[in-house]
Amino acid sequence: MAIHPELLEILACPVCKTPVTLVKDGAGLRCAQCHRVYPVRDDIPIMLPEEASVEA
Amino acid sequence: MKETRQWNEVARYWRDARPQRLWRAYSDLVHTRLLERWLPAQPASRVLKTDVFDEFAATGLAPFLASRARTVVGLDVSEEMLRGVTGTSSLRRVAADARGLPFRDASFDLVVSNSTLDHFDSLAGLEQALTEIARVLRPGGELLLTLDNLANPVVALRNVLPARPLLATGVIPYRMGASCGPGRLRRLVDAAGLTTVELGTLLHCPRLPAVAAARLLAPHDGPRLRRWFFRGLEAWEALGHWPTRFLTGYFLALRARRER
Repeated sequence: MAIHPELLEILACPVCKTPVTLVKDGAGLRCAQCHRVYPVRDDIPIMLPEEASVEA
Repeated sequence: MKETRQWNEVARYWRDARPQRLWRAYSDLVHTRLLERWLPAQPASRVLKTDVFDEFAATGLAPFLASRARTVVGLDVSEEMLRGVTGTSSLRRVAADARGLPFRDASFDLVVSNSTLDHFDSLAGLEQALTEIARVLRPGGELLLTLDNLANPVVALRNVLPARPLLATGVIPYRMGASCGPGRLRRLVDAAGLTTVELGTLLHCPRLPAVAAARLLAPHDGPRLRRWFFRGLEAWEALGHWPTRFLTGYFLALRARRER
């Protein structure tokens, strides 16, 4: 099971509120604005800035 | 983050010890009654619950909310708390801080915040979270909020006493945070861009003896015991209709709307 499409539709970066998109085969959610990538663990999106990595 | 560490610890302790099972079931009951009274008549499309402690510690409110909404999103700052919620398969779980909501503007018809926003170190946290809730509500959407009522002298005293001995003696199950009384709450909600529709109180039974009684009765837990014990506790809720309600209610209960 992956992140439910209904949830994916509304998820945004908690810092800049830009919509996020799935990356790394569903293991991360990337913000197009600030390039933070939030991990997804056991289908739970971890939308905490201190858990995110910044990828250019 | 400090809050994440703190609530992960609470999750580990509660998962192993399962304290207050009977009391949490009663807490679910009074909060469900409030939802029955205040939930908008038409079913919601999306509901956000700002923490999943209720669902972690007992049945919680998510199953009831799921019966009235297409999607229920359960937020929590603790990943372990979210992992520990097993009873409600329809709950969409997200780890995040209520002060920085990870959702697009106007995503929800309803936000249910049951004693989440009274756990920050200062009122600035409460203000920030209210602003975020107003942002993610669609115009016409509603917030149903409860938090520690500092107009109740018992709650005010509990919150100024040092936390360590209260935790050690089991008077409080976890660390409390900054909260306020009804007037201040109304002003903060207004400043966040929401309109207060109703402001009342919840949980009027004397909490310390009630929690102690629930602990003593827990080994005999069953449908019959729950029926008479909960009926006895619920009788105290009549105080919520009295002019003194803000002095006796443990929680402030607020219903607010985002007008535009």
